[in-house]
Amino acid sequence: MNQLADVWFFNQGWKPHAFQKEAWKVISKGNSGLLNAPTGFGKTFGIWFGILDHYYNHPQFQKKKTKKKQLHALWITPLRALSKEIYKAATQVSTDLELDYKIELRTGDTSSADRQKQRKNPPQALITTPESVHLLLASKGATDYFKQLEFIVVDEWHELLGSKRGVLIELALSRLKAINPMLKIWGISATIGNLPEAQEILLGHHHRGVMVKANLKKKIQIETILPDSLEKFPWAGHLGVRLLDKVVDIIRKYHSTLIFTNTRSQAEIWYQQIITFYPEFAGLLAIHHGSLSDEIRLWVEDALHEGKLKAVVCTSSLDLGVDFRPVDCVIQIGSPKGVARFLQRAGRSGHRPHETSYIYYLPTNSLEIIEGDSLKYAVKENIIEQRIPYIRSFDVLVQYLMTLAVGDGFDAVQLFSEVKGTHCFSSISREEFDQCMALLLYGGAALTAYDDFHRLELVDGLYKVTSRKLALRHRLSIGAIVSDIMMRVKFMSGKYLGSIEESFISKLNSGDVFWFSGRQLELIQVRANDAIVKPSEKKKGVIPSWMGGRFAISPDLGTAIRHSFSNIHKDKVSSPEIEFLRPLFVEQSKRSILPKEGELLVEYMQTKYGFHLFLYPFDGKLVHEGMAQVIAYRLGKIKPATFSIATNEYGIELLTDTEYEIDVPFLTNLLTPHNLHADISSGINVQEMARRRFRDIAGIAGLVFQGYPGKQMKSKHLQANSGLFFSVFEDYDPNNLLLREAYDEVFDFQLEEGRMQQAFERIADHHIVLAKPLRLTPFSFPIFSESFRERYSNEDWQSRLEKLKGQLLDG
Amino acid sequence: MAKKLTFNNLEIFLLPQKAVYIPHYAMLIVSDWHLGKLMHFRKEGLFVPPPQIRHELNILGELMQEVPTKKVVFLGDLFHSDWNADWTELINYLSNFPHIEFVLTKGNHDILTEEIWEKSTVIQQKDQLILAEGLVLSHEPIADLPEHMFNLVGHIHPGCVIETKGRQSFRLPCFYLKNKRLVLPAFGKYTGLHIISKEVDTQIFAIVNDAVIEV
Repeated sequence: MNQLADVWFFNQGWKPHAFQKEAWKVISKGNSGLLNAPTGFGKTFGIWFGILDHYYNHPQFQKKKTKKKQLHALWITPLRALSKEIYKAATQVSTDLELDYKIELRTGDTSSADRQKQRKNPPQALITTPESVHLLLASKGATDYFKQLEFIVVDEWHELLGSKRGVLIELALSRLKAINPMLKIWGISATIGNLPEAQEILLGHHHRGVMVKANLKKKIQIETILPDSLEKFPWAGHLGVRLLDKVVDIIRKYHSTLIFTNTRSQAEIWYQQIITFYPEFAGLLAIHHGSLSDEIRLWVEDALHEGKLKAVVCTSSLDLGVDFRPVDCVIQIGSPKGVARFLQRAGRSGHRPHETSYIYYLPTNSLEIIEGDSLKYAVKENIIEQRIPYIRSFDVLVQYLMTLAVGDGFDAVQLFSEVKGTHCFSSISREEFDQCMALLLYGGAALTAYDDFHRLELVDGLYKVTSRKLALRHRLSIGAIVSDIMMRVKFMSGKYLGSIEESFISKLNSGDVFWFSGRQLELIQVRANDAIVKPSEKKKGVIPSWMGGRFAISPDLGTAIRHSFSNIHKDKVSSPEIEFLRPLFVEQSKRSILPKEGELLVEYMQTKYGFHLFLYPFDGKLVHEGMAQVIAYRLGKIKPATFSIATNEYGIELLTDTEYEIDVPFLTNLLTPHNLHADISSGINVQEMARRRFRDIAGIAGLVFQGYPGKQMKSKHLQANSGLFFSVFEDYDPNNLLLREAYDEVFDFQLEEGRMQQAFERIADHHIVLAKPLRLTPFSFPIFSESFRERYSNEDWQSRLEKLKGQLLDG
Repeated sequence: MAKKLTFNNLEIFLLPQKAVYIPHYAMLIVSDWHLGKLMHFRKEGLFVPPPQIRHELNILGELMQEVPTKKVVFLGDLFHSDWNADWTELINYLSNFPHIEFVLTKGNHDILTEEIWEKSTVIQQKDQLILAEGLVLSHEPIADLPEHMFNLVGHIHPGCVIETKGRQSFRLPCFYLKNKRLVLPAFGKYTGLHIISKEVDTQIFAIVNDAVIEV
C-alpha cells in the first residue's frame, strides 16, 4: 500500500511492477536495502515513493510549528547528468500531486548563493554527488544539518563501488550513521557478479537490510558486423572504418542509434568519417563525450529525447542512467572489454519494458571478430563481472580526516571506531590510524625537534583546522578523481566547446588544424588556460588522443574468449563468427598449430629483427603485460638479454637478439607458478609503476595542490611535485602508509597479481604445444605489428647507464 | 670524467656532480640548490618527511675537498623562498670553511629579508659576477651582452632525453650551451627537470653516471 504511488501511477495510466510494490512495502517497515533492477523499469520510483510515504505518514514532519525545516532525504548519484534526471522525475511527482515536498540539486554546478540558501533553509530532499556530500561535511554545523536525515539513497552503486569514490561513500555513510542511528540506507544497483557483497559494503557488516530484485529479463539481440572478406593477417584498428558503409546501413534501418566507442578520439574519428562520406547526415548526427562542454552535451541529450537525431557517436559518457526513449539500436565499436559494459550499453536501446535491445558489435580487426561469439556466450551463460572494492585507501582517509576537521572537528577515538566499521578500513589498526593522524598533526612521524608544520590542532578535545587558508585549499581539493590539467577550447567570441588535455594542445602550433567536438578547428593562440580556435576548411587535421583511454579486458570476458577459442578447431560450430574466421584458422594450422582446448600454443621463430617467442594464454592485455615481464626476467636469468615486449588481448611476444634452446621442458620450467611473487617483485620495475600510482594518491591525500580555480598550476609543476614527494618518501620515510598504498595498488590493480597467479596455474595444467614456424602466423602477426612496445632488461639502472655511456663515447 | 670547454681562452670544466669548475680561479659554481624547499612545503601544510639537510650539505663539502677551492659561486635559487631552520644549518656549515669565499648571484627564489642577510655574512650577495675573461655569472640570462662575452646561468633546471637502440630512453640532467650561454643543471636533489630538445645551434652535455658527455 502506497497511496501516493497508487494515485500517481493511476493518473499516468501505468501499473506498478511487482518489485516497486515490494520496495514500497519494505521501506514502509523501516528497512534499509538494495534494489537490483535493469534500467528502464522505474527503479527511481521504486524508492522515491517509499520516501514520500515515510514523510507524509510520520506526524513529526507535518507539524506546522517546526521552527526550521530539516533535510529528510539525500540522493547520491555518480553523475551530474543523472542528478538532473532524478531531480526532474522527483519534482514532477511533487508537482503532479501538489506536494510540499521540495527537492533541490546540489552539485559542482550549484551557485554559492544557492548553496547558502540550502544551508539556511534546507529542502526536504537534496540530490547530489559523493563529492558534494563531503563538501557538506566540510562545513561548520554539518552535524546539525544531517541530524534529522531519514534516508540516504546511493544510485548506480555498482558504478561507484569499484572506485575510490565508493570509499568516499563508505566514509560519509559511517559518519551519517553515527549522527543519526535511525538512518535508512538504500542502494540501487545494476546486476554485478558480487551483488551481496555490494549490499554488505553499503549497509555495513551484519546488516539487516533486504534485497529487492526485479525478476525482469531484458531481451537482447546481438549481431556481429562481418566484413565482406576476411583479412588473414589482421592488425589492430585496420578493420573498423572499412565497415563504415555497413554501419550507415544499420543507422538507416532504425529510428535512432547510439554508436559507442571506447575512447574519445575514436568517437571523433567515427563522427568525422560518417560526416565526410555521408554529408546528408549533417544535422542528424551528433557527438557526445566527456570532454565536451555541458552546453553541447545537453543539446545532444535534449535532441535525443525529442527524437531529432538519427545517430549519436558517444563514449561511456552515455553509459549511465538517463533514458532516451527514441533510441532503438546500439552499435559497439571495438571490443567492449567487459560483459557488464556491453550489457549496459545494449540496454540503452529498447528502453521500455519488454522491448528488445538491439546491439551490433563491430570488430576492429579480424581476430576481434571472435569476441562477438564470446559476448553472446557470456550473455547466455549470465557471466558478469564483479566490482572489486578498494580497501585500505589511506589517501582517501587522510582527506576525510581533513574534511571533518575543516567542518565541525572530530574526536579521534570515536572516529577510529566509525572508520573501522567500514569495509574499506575494517583491517586498519590503531597504529595505522595514528600514522594517518600523525601526517596531519606533525607532517610525518611524530616529534621532530623543531618544525613549522601545523595542519590539525586540538581544540577542546576535537581535532580542527584553524587556518582559513588551509580550510579553503582543502575544500577545493575534495574528491577522489585526479584529473590531468585541461585547457578550455573556445572560439574568439568566447563560446566554450569543451576541454582537452594540455599535453595535446602544447604539441600544436598556431595555425595547426585538429578535430574536436566533431568540428574542424584551427588553433589561433593559447591564452593562459584557453585554447582559442576558429572553424577551419583545411583538409588535414589531427585528432587528439586523450589519456586514460586504454582499459583492459575483464577476467570474465577473458573466460568467454577462451571458451570461444576452445571451439575453433571443431568441424561444426553454430557460430557465425567462428565460421567466418575459418580460413584464418586454416592458415594458422598450415603455418603453425591451432591450439585445442587445454593446450597452450607457443611459437618460436627467427626473422631479421631477431628471435621471437610468442605465447597465447588469452588472458587479456593487462595480465599479459605482467606475465611478459616475468617471463623476460626468467629468461634473463638463464642468459642475460634485453627484450622488446609486445602484448595484446590474446598473446605475448618477446623479441630479443639472443637465441635460446627452446623445447617443451624448457617452457614448462619457464612458465611455472612457483616463486611467482618473488619473480614479480624482483623482475618488474615495481618502483616506477608505484611512482606513477603515487601521483593520484598524493593528489587525493592533499599532498599536492592543484591550484585555485583559474590559477591552476602548470601540470609540469604538479608532475614534478608528486615525483619529488615520492623520492623524498622513499629516502626518508620508506614505511609511510601512502607509499605502501602505492605499491599495494600496483600489485592489486595494475599487475593484478591474483589474476597472474591464476593464469600461471592454469598454464601449468595445460599441455604446451610448441611450433617453430618459418614465417609469421595469423595469430602472431597482430602482436608483431603492435606499435606500442616495452623494453625489458635484466640490467639495473646503474649498469644501463654505464652501457649508455659506453655507447655514447664510442659513437 | 669531466668535460672541458674553453671560453675566451679560459678553461672551464663541466663536472658530473652538476657543477662547473674553473681551475684558474679555483672556483666552483653550482646553481639552483633550492635548499629548504621541503621545509617550505611543510610550512605550507604539505606533509613531506623532514629531510636530513646534512646529506645535501655534505655533497658540496665533498666536492670542495675533491678540487682545490677558493671560491664557491651559488648561481641563484640557493634557498627556496622564506626563511626556515635549514638556512641556519647552511650558514653554520659554510662557517666551517673560513678560507673559502661564498658568493650568491641572486635568483627569483632568493627572497630572504635584509635582516637575515645581515646575520649571514659568510655569503656575499650580488646580482651578477663578471670574470676578467668576459664571463658573466648570473641566475637568469642577461640580454644584450657584448658579442665576446659568455653568460653562465641556471634557473631552468635543464634535462635531456636520450633515446638509444631498442627504444630505450633515459631522462638525465644536463648542461646546455647556446649562443654563448651555458645553462647549468640544478644542483639540488629534489628539483625536477625541464627537458631541452636538441636544435642545430645547441650543444647538450648530459650527465651519465660519473661522466659528462656531449650528445
